[in-house]
Amino acid sequence: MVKKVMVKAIRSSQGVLMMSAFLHELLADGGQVEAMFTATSGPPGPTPAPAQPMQSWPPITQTGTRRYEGETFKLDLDYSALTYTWRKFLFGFGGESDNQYNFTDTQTVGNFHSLGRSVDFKQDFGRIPTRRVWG
Amino acid sequence: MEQQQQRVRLQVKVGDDTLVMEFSKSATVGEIIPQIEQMASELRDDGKKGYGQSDSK
Repeated sequence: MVKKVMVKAIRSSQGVLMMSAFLHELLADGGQVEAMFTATSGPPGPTPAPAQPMQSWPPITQTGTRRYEGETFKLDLDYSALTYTWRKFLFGFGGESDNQYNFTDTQTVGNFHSLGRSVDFKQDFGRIPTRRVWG
Repeated sequence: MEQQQQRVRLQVKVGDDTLVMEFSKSATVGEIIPQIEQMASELRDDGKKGYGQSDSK
């Protein structure tokens, strides 16, 4: 698709001109200005690097569910390539709390990495699960 | 005569080209940008076709 040339700003020898300035205030007849572009459909420029792929350690390469259970908590991890749902149930003090986190796409990168790293849960939850069920 | 005085002629550098364009003196910088974009787009498109080729208009 051909994009229209987009001018971001106009620059003169005085510098970048304010959009709201009147020409007669800044420029004399015959004056020189330069158009500064934002984008054109010319030859393709450098392609932005793709977002960092979500990573997990150990690697998770397929959609599925992992469940972790300990004495005081249970965690279900439903994951796919870019999304996962993290349900954490904490038990204790005669009650239970249910925290559910839904992350998608790039928002999850840090958390997912953290979660992947924390398979032993010691660092993130302070407890090691007593049982791990692979879904 | 009076009409000429209300116009300002500028050399507009667009990439490697320098265009001479005429604008109203009372126009703002923001107002002339669409004209420059239009001209730059046409120049670019002409460049793709090759200068000297005529449009089939």
